[in-house]
Parts: sequence; structure tokens; C-alpha cells
Amino acid sequence: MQMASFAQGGFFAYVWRHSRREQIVVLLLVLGSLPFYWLSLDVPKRIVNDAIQGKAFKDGATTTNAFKFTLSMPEILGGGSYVITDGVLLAQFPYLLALSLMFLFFTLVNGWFKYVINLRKGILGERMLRRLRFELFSMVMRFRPEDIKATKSAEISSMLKDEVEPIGGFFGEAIITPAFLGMQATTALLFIVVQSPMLGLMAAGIIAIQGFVIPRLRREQLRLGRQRQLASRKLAGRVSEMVDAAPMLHNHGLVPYVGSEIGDRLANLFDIRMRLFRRKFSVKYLNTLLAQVTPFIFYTVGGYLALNGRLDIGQLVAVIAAYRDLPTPIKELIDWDQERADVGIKFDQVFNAFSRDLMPRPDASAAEIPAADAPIQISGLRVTNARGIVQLEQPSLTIARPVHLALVGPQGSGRDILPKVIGKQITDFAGTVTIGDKPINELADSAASRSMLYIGSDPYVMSGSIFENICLSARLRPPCALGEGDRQDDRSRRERMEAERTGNPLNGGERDWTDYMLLGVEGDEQLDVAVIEALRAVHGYESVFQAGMSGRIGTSMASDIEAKIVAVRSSIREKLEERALSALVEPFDPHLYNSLSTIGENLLFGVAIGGRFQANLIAREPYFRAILDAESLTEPLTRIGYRILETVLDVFQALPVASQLLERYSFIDPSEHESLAELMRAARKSGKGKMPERIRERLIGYSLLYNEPRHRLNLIDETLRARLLRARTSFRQFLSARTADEIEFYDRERVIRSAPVRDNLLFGRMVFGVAGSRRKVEDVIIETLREMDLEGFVIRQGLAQEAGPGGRLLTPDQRSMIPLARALLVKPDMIILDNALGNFSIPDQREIIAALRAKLVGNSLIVTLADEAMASDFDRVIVYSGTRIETDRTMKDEMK
Amino acid sequence: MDIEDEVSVLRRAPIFSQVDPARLRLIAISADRVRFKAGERIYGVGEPADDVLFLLSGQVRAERGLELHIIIGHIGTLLKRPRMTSIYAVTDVEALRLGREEFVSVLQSCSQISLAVILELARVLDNLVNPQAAKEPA
Repeated sequence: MQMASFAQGGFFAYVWRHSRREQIVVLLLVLGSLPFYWLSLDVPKRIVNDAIQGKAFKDGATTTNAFKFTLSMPEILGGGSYVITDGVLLAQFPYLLALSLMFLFFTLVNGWFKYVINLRKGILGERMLRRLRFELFSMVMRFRPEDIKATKSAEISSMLKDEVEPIGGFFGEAIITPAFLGMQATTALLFIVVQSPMLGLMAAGIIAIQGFVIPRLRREQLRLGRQRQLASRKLAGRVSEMVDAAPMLHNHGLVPYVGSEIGDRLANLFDIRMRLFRRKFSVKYLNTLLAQVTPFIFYTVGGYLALNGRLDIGQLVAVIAAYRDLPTPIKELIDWDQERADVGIKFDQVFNAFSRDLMPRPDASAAEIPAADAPIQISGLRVTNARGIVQLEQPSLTIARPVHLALVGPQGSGRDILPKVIGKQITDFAGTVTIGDKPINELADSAASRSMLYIGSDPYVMSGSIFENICLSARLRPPCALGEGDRQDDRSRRERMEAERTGNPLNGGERDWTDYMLLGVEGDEQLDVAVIEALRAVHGYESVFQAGMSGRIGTSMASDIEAKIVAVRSSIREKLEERALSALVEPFDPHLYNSLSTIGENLLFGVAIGGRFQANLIAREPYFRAILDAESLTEPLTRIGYRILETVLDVFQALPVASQLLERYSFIDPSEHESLAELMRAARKSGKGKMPERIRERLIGYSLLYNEPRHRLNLIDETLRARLLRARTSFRQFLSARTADEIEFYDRERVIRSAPVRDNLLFGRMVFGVAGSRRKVEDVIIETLREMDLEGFVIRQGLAQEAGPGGRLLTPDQRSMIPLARALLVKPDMIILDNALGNFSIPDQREIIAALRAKLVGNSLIVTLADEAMASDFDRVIVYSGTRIETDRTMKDEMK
Repeated sequence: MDIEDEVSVLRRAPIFSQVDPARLRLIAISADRVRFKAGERIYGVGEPADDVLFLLSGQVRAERGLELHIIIGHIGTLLKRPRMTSIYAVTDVEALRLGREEFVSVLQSCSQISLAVILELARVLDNLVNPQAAKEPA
């Protein structure tokens, strides 16, 4: 097993390996600060003794030498002293002043040293943290595919993010802190000993007790801390698992069950924490107590000595002052020792969590791309799963390329395993699989990805737009490194220096990595064309086009397109009239009620942009409500809202569980169902007039989303329509100029940026319910778009649609089409489809396979299929039954 | 016609006679109402099957195969395979249309409706296996 190299020798070895230079620099700074520290302790003594008590002025002297520094050698070095400077002669008060200023000066110098040391320590720690995180990330990326599957990603990411944080904070402390604090404490202690050996020895004794007892008491604390760490990591893992499975949990009504499990875990965490607190604070108590005993001794014994004249007051004050500085470093040293143990354990834990069999680092020859027609040779292949059951036995097989190969067989048979082996999804097998004489598992990613792309049944979709997701596969060309080429500004250079210091990549991810050469395109426009072409082949065009039609136009748009969209409206209208289809679209007309829009849309006659008139707030908006009152709409709308709620609750009552069924009533949240029933009872009770405002707002809010043909509760009549139209007019008329930008009103001459593309093109709504109406109208739209050269715009709008994390915002079709388009865009020598088409209907599968095959003439394609019927025109068909091949036919031979 | 009318039409269908009206409302509330003119093609053979119709009024005719009752297109939709036959409107037709997802969730959340659909399918199967039994009144 390959060891995680970074952890060799444990935490301190790691620290030393990567930061010794900086550590030494800081250590030197610490050393340099010590004399000043000593002096800042010594000066107060002189202030009290010499200046205030006048020792320097005894025997009637009126002046004395200030700043007279003599360096006295210790006895062992032969004694003797050297006068560094004779200083200046000063009277008592100026002398006091001079000494006080000196004290101030040393305090400032000390502070400055502390600042520099802390800053350097912080930066050092952060650098090490950056390195550690990147190394951990690189290691995860080298896990074998089998291990990746067995890894809980939330745990890994919580480790990478949170758990290494305290380790990072400690990097700066690891060596410097004990050195600094140790020296500081020794200095202070030494100072006390010099003043009074007896007091010094007593202080040293108590420190020794502290240093011996406290760490032992803290061991239990550490153990608990570790336990807490593990428990909370597991909690994070379970919570993320449950969040992912939430729909299933609702489905089975398992929320109370899993809720209680989480409750248990939290209780356990609470319990550990409690014990931890008890231990922690009792140790703290003891610690403080010990620290307070020393001043007690100083005051009594020191005072006694002073009274006896064996210690002067100045010395006593200095000793106490020095001692004030002593407990802090000692306490911090003890803290440091605990943190050392703690961080050491964390470091080992993280290292253990990341120590798996890693894929070998590819060597240079691994980057050679195998020839496109190099055969795949398999010999003695035997794949067993984790439980030791044989899944595939393949004594020998040669796949000559290029080939379009169909693997047929029942689910779970060898046809599901072979593509995973060739596609490097299973790396743990016996036997050899080579491609052009090179074992496939020794191919570097860069070479393998050019040679073949595996697409499984789980499409990996990343957050970002569909376009970005498809183009991901072409992000292969590293941009020029920081500090080179056109990136030689100071910032880039600094960033590069930091990246080098921390073993991070030098390229930066924000730059364009797209390998245009590989795709054979120049610039973004041709890239668009290539993506659209790939999209067509994998049957994604239609759905992306629809997404583009339904998506909002948004603000970023070229002005010529804006003009075109306005122009397209009348062309579409004309065409609809020519074909007698105009009844299928009800245009937005300021003087007519649009029966295909909601009541709210009809009132605003536009789209709310700001927060004020947003659907969930508008019923509370005073101006809007004033308009409703003025047109006596408040009552009717409340009634409509009441009817909607009643209908929905009626249906919910008939259902066993509150389901997510009623998409068209999605504005009523089924989980709120009980509080809603309450609401309805309250509404019924209050009757007319004195209904509480809270309830009225809710009901009016519902009514605004009502749409007659969709909800069909028969709630809108001619009078109501007339009133709504009047309200529409006065709403716009009396709207203050300032709030006018909260709404984009429908205007035939302007693009409505916050409205969907479809509404913008039709400038109206399509009727539904008339058979085939949608198709007919959409044909007209597409035709017109083509004439006006706007089709690309709509597709680009669709491609810009957010995929959401894991592609959650996409339909299953769209999710499955992304990896196909991704692969087709870069056109590797071979594409392997392992149940990748399961989300498509059978006819769609047929068409996609045909389109892929047409695109991949001269390249290779391996597809798994459920039955032979679909495999009829492949070059070669291998039929599996269980773990072995049943038949293996090459079609070209038969033709010959 | 509002959803109350639709529910009362659905109730008149024999297969829904045992179903609580409040539950039939679930169908109406999840559906869109669609209209077909006499002679129009409702489903074309080979088209993807992703919706189900509940007939409210009018008559329909299948190009080949089985006699049609109140539910149309459910077999292909449940099996996710293309339409096996074309269906035409004989007179003007009104129907409730449920997309595949809505149809499946209606079945999942209401056992009475699923039972009705199962009975309907059982009858179809029975007609296939015992053609003469089908002639007898149920």
C-alpha cells in the first residue's frame, strides 16, 4: 500500500519539512526580542529603587548617571565587566522621567516584536494549511474509483474544510510558541531568581507541580475531545445522507424514524460535551488556584524578607511584576502541550482517513496516447466483487479497432462489467487488459481521456450552466502560468510565489482552459456551434431549446437581439394569422383581460422586478391593496382564495400522506396542510368584514395565482374581469415614478427582460387544451426564429440554464444528455456507453445510437444493450450470459 | 365546465363507480382539459407515450385493437413505450389529460383509483384471453 507521503513521520516532521526556513526566521525574531523583554522587567525596579526611593542619590549626590550600561560577565566566564556607555548625568526628577520614558520605549519595542511574530506565525500557518488542503485534495483525486464510491463525500469535505483548520492554526505555533513562551518564562524565572533565589525556587516549585499535574489531568479531556470529533464527523455524514434521501424518507414516512436517530446522535454529542466541560473547568479551577498560591507566597514571604531588610522594596515589586508575567506563559505552555497532543491526533486521523490504495502517479510514458487503431487485448481477466463473487471471466479477448461494438446480455452479466474494466471504473481485477500493449491502468488521465471516454448510468453534472457542463471536457489546455506571458503584473507574481511556496498549481482556474485546437474551433462563436452540433446528435437540442424558451431573457443581451425580438413579435403574429392559428395565442393587450394569465399577472400587466410586488409579498403591499380596495376587489379575491384553499384541502384530506402531487397548486405547501386547515376554519368563522389581516393576505395571495383554464374552479365572471381591468389601469396610473422600476410593464415595443423568452416572442400566451396547438404554434415560432437568425439566441439561453448541484435543476433527459454531448465534443478515439441511455425512451435510444454512430465513423464505440434487436447493424456483437461470452459475431466477416 | 362538473362526469363511468368523489377530484385537479375536433388524430402510432386521457365527452376510435373505455393511452404510458395504435376523435371530444408523472403519482397516492385502473386492465386482459366471456354482461 502506498503511504500518504505527506504524513510520514507525523505532524512535526511535516511541519519541519515544509516550513523550517520560516520557523527559524521567527525563532530568531523571538530570540532578538528577549533582551528587550528582560529590560522591560528591569526598568521598573530601577524606577522604584533608584529614582523614587532615591537610592541613586544617596550620600547627598544630586545627579547620577542615566543610561550607564555595563555588561557584566558571569563568574564562570571570568567575571569582569565592560562599560558600554557612561551615560549622562541627570538630577532626580529628570532621571525618573528618563527611566519612565525608557520603560515606555521597551514596552513599545516588545509590542512591535509581538506584532511581527504573530503576523509571521499566522501567515506561516495559513501557508501550511493551504499546502495541506491541496495535498489532501490531490490524494482524494488519486483514490481508486472503487474507493471513491465507498467514500462519504460529506465526511471528506468536512475533514478538508473544518477538521484541518485547527491543525492549520497550530502550524505557526508548533515550534515557535514553545520556544517563545519557554524562553519568556525562563527569563522571568531567572529574573526572579536573580532578585531573590528563595522566592525564585518557590515559584519554580509551583510551576513544576503545575507542569506535571495539569497535563495528566487533561488526558481525559483529550480523549473526550477525540470522541467528540468522531461523533460529529459521523453526524455530518449521516445528515448529508439523509438530506440526499429526503424525498425517499418522506415517501415512506420515515422522517420521525431518522429524526430520532439524529436526536440520539445529538444527545451523544451533548453528553460528551458535558463531560468535557466538567473536566475542562475543574482543571481550569485547579490551575488558577495553583497560580494564585504563588503571589500569596510572594506577599507573605517576600514581605517578611523586605521587612527584615533582606530584600528591598524595589526588588519585591519587580519580583511580583515578573511573576505577573510568569503564569501566562506557563499556562500557555501547558495549553500548547495539550494542543500539540490534540493536533497530533487529528493529523494522524486525517491521514488515516486519506490513506487508501492510491493510484500510482503516472510516469512520462503514461502520457502517450495509444494509437486510435491499437487493439484492446484482454487475457486472463477475472473480476470479483467485494464479496468475492466472480462477475466476469474472460480468458482472452481481442477487440480490434476501430469498431462499433455492442455488448448484449442481461443486467448484471458480463456485459455490465467489461465496459467498466475497459473504462477504468474497475481497477481491481486479475489478469491484464492492454491497449496498444500498454496496461490500461497505467495510462495517465490525460492520455486515457483522449483515447477513450467512459459514460456510465450516473451522469455527473456539476453546478454551473449546461454549456459549462458540456464544455468541461475541453478544459484541457492549461493557461500560461502566473507570472508568465501576459500575467507578469505584481499581483500575479505574488500569487505565483505563494503557490510555489505551498505546492499549489501555478495556473489558476479562472482563466480559460478550453483547448480550442483540440476541438478544431477558433473562438467562442465556433465553440457555440460545436456544442450545438453535439447537442443535436445526442437528442438534447429540443429540450435545451424548450429550456431557452421558458427561461427569462435576463439582462445581458446585445442590443441588436433586442431589436430582433421586438421585430419577431409581429412576424409571428402575421404567420399565425396566415395559417388561421391566431386563435391559439391570446396576446397581451392593455385593454383586455388575458384569460391565460393569472389574476395577479392581469392586475400588474407586467412582471415584478424588485421585491415589492413579488408574488409572495404583493398581497401585503399597501399601495396594491389600496388599489384593490378602491376597485372593491378585496372581497371577491378573498373569496377566490378561500375557494382555492378549500378545494386543495379537500383533496389533501382524501390522501394518505401530504404528497407533492399538485404541481399546479404548488403555491400551497402540502406540509403546511394542518396550519392551513386551521387558517380556513378561522376564515370561515370570521366571515365577512372582520377577517384578520394575516388570513386575508394569505387568501388574496392565493387568488392572485389563480388561472381559470388551469385551475378550472369557475371563479371569474364578466364583472370581475371588468373590475380587474379597471384596477390594472389605476394601478399603473397612480404608481409613483420611483416605484415604477419595480415593474416591467408589457410593452409591444420593448423586450421584457424578466419574462420568459416564449412570452416575449409571442407577446401573449398560448392556449392549452386544444389538441396539437402547442406544436403548431411552436413550429411557427421556430420558423420565424430561423428567418430572423434568432434560433441560436434561444439555444444559448437554454444552454445558459443553471444545472444546479448534481444537475438537480435539470430533467433526467437533460442530465443524461450532458455526458454524451461532453464526450462527443472532444471526440476521443473511443466512447464507452455503459447503460448511459437508460433515461431515454427506446425510440430515443435508437436514434441517439444511430446519431452517435454516424458521428463516430472511423472511431470506436462500445455500447451495452438489453437485447440483440438493437444491435443488428453493429460491426461486432458480443452476447454475454452470466460471467461468460455466449456468442461473439463480427458482422463484416459474415458479409464476406 | 369546472372541475366539479368533470368529477361528476368521471363518477358516471362504471370503473369509477366505487371511487369516492373526493378522490376523483384528485384526477381533475391534476389534469389539463383538452379538446379535439371530430376527425382529429389524438394519438399517432409510434409517438412517444407520455400522457393519459380520461374521456369526458365525445367518441373515439382506435385504428386497430381494443375497444376503448374512459381511460386512453395508459398502457403505453405505464410501459414507457411508443403508441401501438393511432386513435382518432369520432365526434368532438373533451378529455382530461394527465402527464405520465402526474398519472403515476395519482395511482401511488390513491389506492381506490389504482384499484379501478387495475380492474380496467384486468377486464382488458380478460377480453383478450376469453373473448366469449366478454360478451356476457359483467
